[in-house]
Amino acid sequence: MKALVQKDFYVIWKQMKIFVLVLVLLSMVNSAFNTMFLVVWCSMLPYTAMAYDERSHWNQLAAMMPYSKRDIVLSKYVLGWICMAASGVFCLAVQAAAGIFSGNGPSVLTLLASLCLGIISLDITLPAVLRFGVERGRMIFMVVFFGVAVSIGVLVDVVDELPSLPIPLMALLPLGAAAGTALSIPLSIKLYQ
Amino acid sequence: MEIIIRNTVNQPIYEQIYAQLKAQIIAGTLTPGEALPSIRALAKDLKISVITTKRAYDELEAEGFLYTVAGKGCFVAEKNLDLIREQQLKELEDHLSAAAALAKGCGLTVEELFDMLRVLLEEENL
Amino acid sequence: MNAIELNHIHKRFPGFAIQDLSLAVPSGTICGLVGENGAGKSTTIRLLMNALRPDSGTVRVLGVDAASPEFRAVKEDVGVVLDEAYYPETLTAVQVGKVMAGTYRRWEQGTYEGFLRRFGLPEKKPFKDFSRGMKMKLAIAVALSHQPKLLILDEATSGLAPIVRDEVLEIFNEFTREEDHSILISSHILSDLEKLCDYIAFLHQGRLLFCDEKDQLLEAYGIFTGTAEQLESLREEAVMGREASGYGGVRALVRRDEVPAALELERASVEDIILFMVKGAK
Repeated sequence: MKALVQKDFYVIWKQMKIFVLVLVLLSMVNSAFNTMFLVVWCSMLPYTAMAYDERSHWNQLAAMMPYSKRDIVLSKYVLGWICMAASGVFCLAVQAAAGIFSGNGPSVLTLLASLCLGIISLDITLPAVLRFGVERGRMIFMVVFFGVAVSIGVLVDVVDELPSLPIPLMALLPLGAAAGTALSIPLSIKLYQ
Repeated sequence: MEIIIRNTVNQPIYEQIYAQLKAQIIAGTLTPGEALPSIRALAKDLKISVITTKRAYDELEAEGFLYTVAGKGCFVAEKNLDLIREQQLKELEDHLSAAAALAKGCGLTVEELFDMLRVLLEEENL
Repeated sequence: MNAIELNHIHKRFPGFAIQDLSLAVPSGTICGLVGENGAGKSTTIRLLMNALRPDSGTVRVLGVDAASPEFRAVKEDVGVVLDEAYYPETLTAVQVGKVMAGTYRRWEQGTYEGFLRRFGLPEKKPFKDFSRGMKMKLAIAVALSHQPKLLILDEATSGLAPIVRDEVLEIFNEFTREEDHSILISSHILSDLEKLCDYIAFLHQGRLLFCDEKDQLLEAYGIFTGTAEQLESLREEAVMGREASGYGGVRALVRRDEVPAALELERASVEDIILFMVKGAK
C-alpha cells in the first residue's frame, strides 16, 4: 500500500507545485474560510490521482499486481489524510508566522474542524468514486464539496455568533469523522471493482 | 558437435537433429560417454522448440544412441552390436567399392570379379 | 505441473462471449495466443489473472486457483506486460522503479537499471513522453525485474522496430532456459510467435479452435500452388483453405497426410496456416 501512496504522490506532485503557491498566498490571510477551503480541497487530491490512473488504464495493470483490494482502497484514504494534514500544518505555520506581525494567532480549532470536515467528505465520496470511477463519481463529489462549503459557511457564522455552542459541535465533528471513516473504508473495499 | 537446421528442406526439424546426431555418433565424431547439451540448452541455442529437441533425444535414446542420467544430463551411449555391425557393413561397402573401381581399372568384367570373390570365399571356408 | 490451466471457462458480454475455453500451458514452455482483434485474447488474459471473474469454469496459475485468496502471492511470480494499460503518465522510469520496488517482494533494482540502460530508456522523462516502443520496453523491464516464473505478454512486441523485436524475443527465449519458467504471449505478429513458441493456440470469436505444438503444425501442413483443376483432384479433407491468384492459379493450405507423398508442397508458415484457417472459418 505504501508503494501506491508513493505512486500517487509522484502523480500529483506537479499539481502540488501550483497548489503550494496558492496555499502560501491564502494562508497569509488568516481566515477560517481559507483554512477550511485549503484543507477540504486537499481531501480531493486522491481524485486527481485517480483521474490520472484512469487515463492510463492503470487499474487494469494493478489488478495483475500483488495488491489487495484493501491496499488499493486504503491508499486513497491515506493519501487524502496525508495531504490534508500536511496542508493543515503548513497553514498553521504560515499563519503563526504572519501572526507575529498582525498579532492574530493561528486558529487551531478552525484547523481541526476543517480536518474533520475533510475526512467526512472523503468518507462520503470515496466509496462512490471507487465504485463508479472518477467521471461519474465527480458528480457526487461536486455535490458533497458544495455541501461541505455550505456547512463551512454555516459553521463560520455559528462560531462568530454563538461562542458557547462550538464545544458540543466541535465534539461532534471528530466523532463524525471517526465514525464516518470506520464505515466508509469497509464499504469502499466491498464496492471496489 | 555440429547441428545445422535447414528450414528450406521439407524434413521435420526433429528428424534433422535426430539424423545429424545419429550420423555423428556412428561416425565416431561424438564419442561414447561424451556429454550432450541438455534438451533445453540445445533448444535455446538453436532457437527451436524444447518439444522438438526432446523428441529427437527421445528417439535417439529409444534406439540406444544416447542415455540419460537423472540430474546429470544426456550422454552418448556405448556402441551396441547393431551399431558396430552397421559400421562394419559400411566398411565392407567401402572396400567393395574400392575393389570394384580397381577391377574396372584392370578391365575385369563383372563375371570375372564374382568368380574371384567366390574363390576367395571358398578358400576362407565361409 | 501446468503453468496455466483454464478449464471450461465461460464469460458472457453484451455482443461477445468466451465459450468453453480450455487451455493448458505446461511448465517450461512458451505458448503463443493468436487471434484477430476482438477474438478474446486480452479477455482471456484478464480472466487468467483474476482481473475478471468467469461466469463458470476454473483458472489455475502456477498451480494455484485464481479465485482463491492465495492467488495474491502468485502474482509476485508473474510478470505482466499489457497492451493498453500502463503506469500513470506523469511517472518517470526511476519513479516507476521505486513504486515497483515497494510492490514486489523480490524486486531487483540492479536488473531493472540494467534493462533501462540496455534499452536506452531515459531516466527522468515522464511516461507520457515515451513512444509506444519505449513504453513497451519499460513494461518489459519491469516484468523481468522481480524474478518471475511466468510471463504474460499481451502484444508485447508490437510497436517495436524489427531489430529491437529480435532482441526482445531473444530475451524471452533466454528467460525459458530455466526449466520452471513459462511464457504466454499473445501477438498478431505471427512471425515472432513462430520463432519463439512451443505451442500455438488459436482463438476465434471466443472459441479456442486449437492449441497445438508449433513444430507439429508446421509438419502437418504444406502450401500447394498450381491450377484450380489440380487442386480439385486432391481429396476434400486435404484442403483447409484456398485463395485464387486471379490468373488461373490457386494457392491452398493442405494437410500433408491427406495428399500423395510425391506431391510437391511448399513449407507453410504459422502465418499461412492461421490466415488460411481464419478465411476458412468465416
